[in-house]
Amino acid sequence: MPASGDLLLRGRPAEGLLVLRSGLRNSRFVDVDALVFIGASSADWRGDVLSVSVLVREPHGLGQVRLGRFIIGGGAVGPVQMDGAELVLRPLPGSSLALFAGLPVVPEFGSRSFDWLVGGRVGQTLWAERLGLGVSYVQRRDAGERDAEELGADASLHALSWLSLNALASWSLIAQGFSQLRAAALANVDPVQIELFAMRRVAARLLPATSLFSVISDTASTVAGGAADWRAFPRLNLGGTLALEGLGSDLGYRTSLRATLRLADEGPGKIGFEAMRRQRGADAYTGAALRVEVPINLTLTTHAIAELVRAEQPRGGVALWPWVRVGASWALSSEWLLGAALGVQASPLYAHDVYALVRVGYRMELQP
Amino acid sequence: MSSKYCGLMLLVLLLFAACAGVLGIKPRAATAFPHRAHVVKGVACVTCHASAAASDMSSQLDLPAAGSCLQCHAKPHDPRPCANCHGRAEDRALLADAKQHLRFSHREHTAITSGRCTRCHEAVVERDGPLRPAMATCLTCHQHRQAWDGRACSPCHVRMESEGTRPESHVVHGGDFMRRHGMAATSSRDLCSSCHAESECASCHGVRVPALPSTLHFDRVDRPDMHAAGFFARHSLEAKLDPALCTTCHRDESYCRDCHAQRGLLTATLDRASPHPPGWIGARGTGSPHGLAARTDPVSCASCHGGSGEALCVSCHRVGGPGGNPHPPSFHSEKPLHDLPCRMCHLGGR
Repeated sequence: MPASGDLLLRGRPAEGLLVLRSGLRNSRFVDVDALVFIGASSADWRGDVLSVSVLVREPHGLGQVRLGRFIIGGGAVGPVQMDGAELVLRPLPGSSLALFAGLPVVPEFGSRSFDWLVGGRVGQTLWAERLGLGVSYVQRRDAGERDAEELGADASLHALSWLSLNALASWSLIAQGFSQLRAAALANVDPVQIELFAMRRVAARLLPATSLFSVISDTASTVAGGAADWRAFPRLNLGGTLALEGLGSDLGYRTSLRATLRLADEGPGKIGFEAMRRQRGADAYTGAALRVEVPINLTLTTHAIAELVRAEQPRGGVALWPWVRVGASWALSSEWLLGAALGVQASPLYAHDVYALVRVGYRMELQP
Repeated sequence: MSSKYCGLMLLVLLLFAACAGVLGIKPRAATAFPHRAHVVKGVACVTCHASAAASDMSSQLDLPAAGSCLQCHAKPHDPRPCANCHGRAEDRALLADAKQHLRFSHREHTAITSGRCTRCHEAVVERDGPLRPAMATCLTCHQHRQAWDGRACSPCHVRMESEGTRPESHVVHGGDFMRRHGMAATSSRDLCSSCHAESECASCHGVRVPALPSTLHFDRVDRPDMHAAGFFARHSLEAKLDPALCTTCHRDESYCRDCHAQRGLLTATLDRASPHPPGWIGARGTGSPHGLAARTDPVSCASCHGGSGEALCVSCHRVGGPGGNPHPPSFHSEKPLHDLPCRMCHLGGR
């Protein structure tokens, strides 16, 4: 049973974080998964359980039950973190019926109002799993009132070995309108990968229906565009994204150009560059990022990220937001990992900020 | 002019040649082992891989000993070990990696296939180099297909997390997978869970996470992450450019407010005057900017005025109040008027 612990220390402001993870997976009958953390600073401390779940499965794959705290994806609706149970049944080949119920998680161990969440998804795959269809439902309550009730539909089609299509839609039963519609088509013909995508989401309908701000708008945010990735040379990938964005009657766009050069045919070591621009109305920014990872030997790797963003302020003027982090990682043994980094950033939040990060990681195998 | 052009072309060619090694197009010194040539010559697999048929051990690589080559190639052209050039070190590393992570017995499989190695190593007639069968080949066998359907990985995989390989034979994670991973997970959750533990989802999608993944894994510079690098500086701008993007995951309207409050960044705690420009409220019917802003970006309003701050909006936008009806023309709700937030304005269910 693998287990790991990561201790992250940050200087200025002084903060410490301990992340513990363990789990039993790939057993024929039971999966166990746990991820907890505790963090402390000079001002306060906090800890939380991110995931503690036990999954018991029928060995022939006919069904499974999961209990504990976990993330649930109710088909087109989700993801939601909850304390509860999920039952999955697969009565016929390719079919699945998932039912879940529980209490939506509130941060830390704080008291909660009367919240609960129920939902499920019915799915069916056809044509040797090339076509997948699903219908889902979720309802969440806050203090006895519906704060979300959605019906979802999803579909995936792997029409050809190189072409896959995905789509999903969520309908708010409270606002009687689509909260989100998404579709993507991916063509993967080596050495080129092309993706076309479209999204339409309504922020107000995605907010809890108990919020006042859920009743003042049905303005949709629409994004449509494409992305391409081309392995121009065995070690060099070039790519880009161009999308048109609309918010109500406001139109804008976002674009980025990417290049990644791997320093060896296999293994770590790469240099990546990205230039980006995003604009809608008076809000806009232009930026560039450089990512470098250079292995010194089998155990020591150096890395650096630098990003510079030039934001055009809606009330005139510009702001430059530089962000740089350089560091190194050292695998002391198969169990111990050591990493350190130094970061510098300037932003509206911090006039300037210099900080250090140190991570000590330990991986071990527990005998159950 | 033409000599200048030729000179420029020469320079480009020289530059290209100089970069050939960097770009990975320069031929390697060592070449993949010519499996195909041996098959064409009629050399049986076990002639060289003599130990394979009886091999039960995961640690045993079943690579030919140096003497195997000399049985046929009696007069080698080079006195150094054949493996120096014939066959690549990285291919042998891949083989060792497979043996480390998979529970596999050649002995059992050769008995089932009547000694026909090509039943699984079908690529031997097409190409050279490593011949590890794709997982899809394993699943053509009824027994392994049943294990896959039953989500039983441990009969074959020693520990999948430590393999650290993406199953590219049946899942494509390339390109901007971050954007579409949610859709893929919706319809193929079982497939995702074959490799990914539940806690991997929680690392990002938990109500609270220990640290931004880009901070916790700061050594993985190209790890796809919604909030990587300087996102913290530009997050308010990103949220303004596409308010619905944040709400897809951060659905609690108090998320922004709670985070800002923790950092002492609320206007009230900063002891600042209103951040809004003059004329923000405006008279009714004048197309006041706050109404337009609230319709296009309700999340930004909620980030300060959510919760108890909603009372400020309701002081004008109530039934009979000076603010008038705040609902959009197409507004429809199935909520009873005595539920929140309706009852805040529709007092007594009116």
